[in-house]
Amino acid sequence: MFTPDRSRDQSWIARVPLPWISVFVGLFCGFIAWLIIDPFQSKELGDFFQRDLESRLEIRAADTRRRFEYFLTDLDEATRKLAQNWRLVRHVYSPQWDQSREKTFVYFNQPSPWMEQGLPLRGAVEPSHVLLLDLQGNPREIYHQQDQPFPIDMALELFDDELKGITTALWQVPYFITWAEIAAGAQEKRAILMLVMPINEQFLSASQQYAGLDGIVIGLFEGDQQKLLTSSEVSQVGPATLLDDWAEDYLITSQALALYLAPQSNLQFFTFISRSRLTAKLEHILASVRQQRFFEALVYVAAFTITLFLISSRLSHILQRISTFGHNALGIEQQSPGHGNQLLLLENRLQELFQQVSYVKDETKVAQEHRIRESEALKSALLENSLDPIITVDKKGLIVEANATAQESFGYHREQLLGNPIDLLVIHPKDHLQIREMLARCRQKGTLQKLCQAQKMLSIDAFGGEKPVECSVMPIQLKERMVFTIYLRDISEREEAEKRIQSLAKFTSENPSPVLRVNDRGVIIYANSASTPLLDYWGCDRGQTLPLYWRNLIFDALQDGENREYEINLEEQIYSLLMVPVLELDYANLYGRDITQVRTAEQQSRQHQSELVHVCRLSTMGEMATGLAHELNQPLSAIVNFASGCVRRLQTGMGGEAELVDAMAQITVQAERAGEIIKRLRALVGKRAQEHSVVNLNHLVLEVASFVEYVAEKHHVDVTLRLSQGPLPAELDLVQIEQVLLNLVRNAIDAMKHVDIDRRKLELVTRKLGEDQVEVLVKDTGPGIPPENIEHLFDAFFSTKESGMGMGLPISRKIIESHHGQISATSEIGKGAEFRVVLPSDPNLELAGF
Amino acid sequence: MNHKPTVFVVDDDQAIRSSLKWLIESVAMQVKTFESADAFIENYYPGRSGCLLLDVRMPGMSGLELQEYLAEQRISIPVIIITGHGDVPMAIRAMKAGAVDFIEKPFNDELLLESIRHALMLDEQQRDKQSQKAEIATRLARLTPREHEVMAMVTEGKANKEIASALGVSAKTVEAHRARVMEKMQAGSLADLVRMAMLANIGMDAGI
Repeated sequence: MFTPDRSRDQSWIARVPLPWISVFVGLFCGFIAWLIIDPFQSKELGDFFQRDLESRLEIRAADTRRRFEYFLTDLDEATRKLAQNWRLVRHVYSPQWDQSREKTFVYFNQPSPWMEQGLPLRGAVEPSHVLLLDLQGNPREIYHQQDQPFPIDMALELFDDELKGITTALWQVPYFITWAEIAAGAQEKRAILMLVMPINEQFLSASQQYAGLDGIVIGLFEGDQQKLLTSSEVSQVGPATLLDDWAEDYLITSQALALYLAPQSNLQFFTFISRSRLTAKLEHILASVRQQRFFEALVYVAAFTITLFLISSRLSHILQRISTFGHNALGIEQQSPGHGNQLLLLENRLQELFQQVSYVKDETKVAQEHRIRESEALKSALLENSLDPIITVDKKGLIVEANATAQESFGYHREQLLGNPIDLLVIHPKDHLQIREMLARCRQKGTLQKLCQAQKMLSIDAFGGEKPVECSVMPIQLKERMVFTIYLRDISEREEAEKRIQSLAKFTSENPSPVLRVNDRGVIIYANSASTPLLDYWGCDRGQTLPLYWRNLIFDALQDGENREYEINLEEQIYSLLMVPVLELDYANLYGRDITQVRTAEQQSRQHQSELVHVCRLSTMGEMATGLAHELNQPLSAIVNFASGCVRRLQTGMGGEAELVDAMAQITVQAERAGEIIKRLRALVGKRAQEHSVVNLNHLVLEVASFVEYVAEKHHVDVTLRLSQGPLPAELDLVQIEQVLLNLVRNAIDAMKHVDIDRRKLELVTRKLGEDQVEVLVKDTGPGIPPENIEHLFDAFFSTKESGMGMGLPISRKIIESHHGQISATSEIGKGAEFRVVLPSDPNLELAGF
Repeated sequence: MNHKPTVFVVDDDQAIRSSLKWLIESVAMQVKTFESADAFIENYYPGRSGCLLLDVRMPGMSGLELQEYLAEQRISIPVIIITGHGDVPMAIRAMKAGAVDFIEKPFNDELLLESIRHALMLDEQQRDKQSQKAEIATRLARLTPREHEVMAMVTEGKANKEIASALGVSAKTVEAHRARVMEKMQAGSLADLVRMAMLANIGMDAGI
């Protein structure tokens, strides 16, 4: 499954929701913009307002100067009005005036009598000196109204005929001096009135009285030295200071006086405006502007945040839809929209989606190609591996393609087939017409499919071999042409099979044993000819019902579905009848078998069976001994080997202790194994319960003789029997005594192996020993037994034979002793040996069987 | 490959196998045991040196049958037959079939080990001979057909002149052939050459 890469989600920025980022970014940008713009804008604004203020100040300064000049004009006018004062006119027209023509009167601190009412001017200022001059300008009366020293002469020098007022500085004090002619009406003028007004604080204030100064300081300064002469606020701006001294605290505007300026005088008008006030004003403006700007910024941030918030909520919605789409359409695991930056999430999600889409696309493409290829491969495999030859031909019957089976079964290479007409190559000449017609029929449109199907023909292969085939044609309409797929199914096997089935059908009827079929109602459906004796026995025929007894047996068999076997004893024949129910078809098959001969043979063999049992038992004894010997030899050999190995290792000092212990344990195991074998042997001999029966000993000897007949003949031993006349009844275990005798006989035969052929004689003798004993003698003409061996003969494991185990005689003795008899041996070296078995007998015993 | 000779033991009785292994290993020989003739055949590489201790009586392929099989396959490993009590006729058959020795169970360790040593010695000798034969065969293979003929005649004791007339060439040519034969066969003397020819008599017969 496709797994999207989620590593990008780890970045912290991806975990912060978009609205928070927008708030943060908005605030941050606002802050930065503020930091950058504020000083710049404040300065701009400051400069702007400063320039504005300055220009306004200049206007104001001009206003103050103009007002000052108007004030001077008013004063000049007032002087002229004063000169018309009737008292003054009368005074100068008085005779005294003429009388004292040569005299000058000086009055101190005495106001002039015609000036009681002051100057005819609102807010007028008090002149410091009032003078009356004659027409030549000589002073006649001088009134010092104030104690101020004043250079009268200098003032008089300024007298001009034009009688126009002037401003001038005398002794560093500025004055405004006005003149006016005194005349009575149209009469000749008599004198000139001269007023001297110091331009002081009061003067200046008065000059501006209508407008008010409002923190502005005005005054006059000496133009050449730039020295202040007077100001409207002496307490703040004292005279006798330089103009430049104030440049720091005030904004200074200087203007030349346009009117009333005395010649050779360079008095100039100044206007001081306090800088601190200006700055305060400016700051006030800037603060208000800044406040305004701050609110604007807040509004912007809010708007920005809200917009982004709205966008992010839309993004969340889109994310959800993409997730749902991915889940429904592409099977991506549905993801929760997630918390964090929706934009990054969206990008991630889209990337995943695109990857997934292209992955799915690729996969689909691959799967589709794979499917196509697979289906092609399947089809071609089907074609190739079809067991039927398949040949594709074009309209003209020329071969276009042929599968491997076709190549193989017709014995052509593909190249030999392609391009050649099919009829000539693989169809027998007699069927050429048929296939051509078939193709022609199939070529016509709308032909019924079955016309193209399955017609029998004879095919012919490259080597001339003919085969019956079933030919079907399948027209295939390709894009541009039509081809025909021809299936040539080899039906030779089918025909063969049909024949076989037909012959198989005869199988049962040809069966020499009875075969019958009986349905679930007990009716004989089928019976072959061999069943006649059985039908005769039952007294019914084919199509008739079985006798009740057999019908019931059939019902039972059909009930439980098990096979049953019965024997039917006819007069001359015995049949075995196997009843096989076929449940699914509701009938039973009966298979009879003539077992007459088998039964006869069985009876015969049963007669031999008891003999066979004896033979088997007896013959095993010797073999058993050899087998046991071999078996016993194995553990003993192993013991010897282990022990020798141990000794050698101990001698040479090789081999570890554990190893040696292991080997010795092996020795124990093997010794135990040997013990087991011995135990088994003992069990074999001793444990069998004796089965006593009364036997005629003569019969028994006869039987033993017949057993060994073959062996005796083989070894060219002449066997002689000398049996007692009458029966020798004895109660004994037939098998055991047989074993004993057989053993003795075999020993005797073995003993004579190395004796000349014509001297090999075995004699078996039986006779009565008194009333209650019988005797059996086994005599041979072998080399005899040395006397020193005679006494050991019946010891266990004593043997003189190559392959003897030394068990035969000891066992024999044990058996005889268990019958309360005796066994003994006598021998003459070179002549032979004689074994004698004596058994108890009782003439009253009744012989049974034998 | 391990060049130490191995004593292969084939016996159906596990106790006999392990006890034989124990005994033979006590004289520092390498032992490999198999429970049946088939197992031996399946695991035996003809190249291995060693000898085979073979029980006559086994279920499946008997010892004698294995011997026959080995003879058929031209595997010339020396075989010592081990036999149980009463298998003497069989042992004799085995001896006739080329067994080196036969030993009756239970074994006398001295006899057994002596027999094994003897068998291993035989094996070694056989191997030596085999490798000599192989060496001679490769040398023979280098001879041209004409040189083969000359060599055959020389080792039969014919004189150069006789050979020359038999082959219809000059005596000098025969001389040259003979020299080349001696050189190619790396024979120091005529006697050497004759010895080689005897060892590889099969090759000589085939060559003419």
